Amino acid sequence: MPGSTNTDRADARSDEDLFMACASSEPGAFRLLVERHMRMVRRLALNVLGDAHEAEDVAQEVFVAVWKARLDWRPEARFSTWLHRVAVNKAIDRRRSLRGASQASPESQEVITRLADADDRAARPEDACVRLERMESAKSLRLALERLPASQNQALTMFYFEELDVGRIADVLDCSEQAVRSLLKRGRAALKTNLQRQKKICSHGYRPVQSQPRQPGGRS
Amino acid sequence: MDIARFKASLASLGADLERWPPDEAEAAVALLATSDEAVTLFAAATSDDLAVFGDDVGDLDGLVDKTLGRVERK
Repeated sequence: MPGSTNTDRADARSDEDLFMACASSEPGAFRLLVERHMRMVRRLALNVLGDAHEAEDVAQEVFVAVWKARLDWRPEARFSTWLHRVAVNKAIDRRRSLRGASQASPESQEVITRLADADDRAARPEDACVRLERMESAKSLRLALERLPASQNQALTMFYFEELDVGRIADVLDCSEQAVRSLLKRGRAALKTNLQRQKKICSHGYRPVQSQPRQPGGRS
Repeated sequence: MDIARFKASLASLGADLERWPPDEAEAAVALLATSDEAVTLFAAATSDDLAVFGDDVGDLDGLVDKTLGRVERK
């Protein structure tokens, strides 16, 4: 069984070795792989689908498919490369099927989605520590943004915190959409560098930025 | 959409296709369906987004357990 024993969270084996161990029915190996990759797989699906509930269902489907393929898999490519392809394919399939369903009956689909989201929220009340951590992380991100050149800061703030689209930002900044894209590109790259530097400097006793400003449409 | 355009859009807009103009997002999905290089770029941008902006979903232990339960039932 894939998750029947306690997981050794410090297992340093490669993904490929772990997946080969799954084929040999080593207990716990698959759990480790799922734990290692769930966040990324969920996020890939979310990026394609734009809906957290659907993304989590797709993430489960992805790992079911991966488990089924364990006996036939050969380590010719990196496990993660293959996993990401499976995740993107499943998410695209779901996206297409949802688009078809929502065109057939948009209102009922929306009701189902809202009910599912409400159930999900009720089942997982937010922990106070998580909320606090999110606030701290958002503050760190704000500080990192403030260190950027003003134009990049403005563009990123409008895009991520105010959720304006590129066209609207171009109107506000009185520049072309291409110029906004360029600001966002440079700003994102600088932000990444700054936060990586911060992570290195503060690696003892300080947790780097882990939260994201509110997702479009309240996604999480 | 070609790979160069896709790469440029990822660099400026990030990997969340909801934030892309709708026609551009649809073109990106079509490209992702057929191009392994696009999937690799998309995964790298997703990983960057997670590293820079994080993820406010909290711990995923529940989802991991649910997934493993689903796997066991198969």
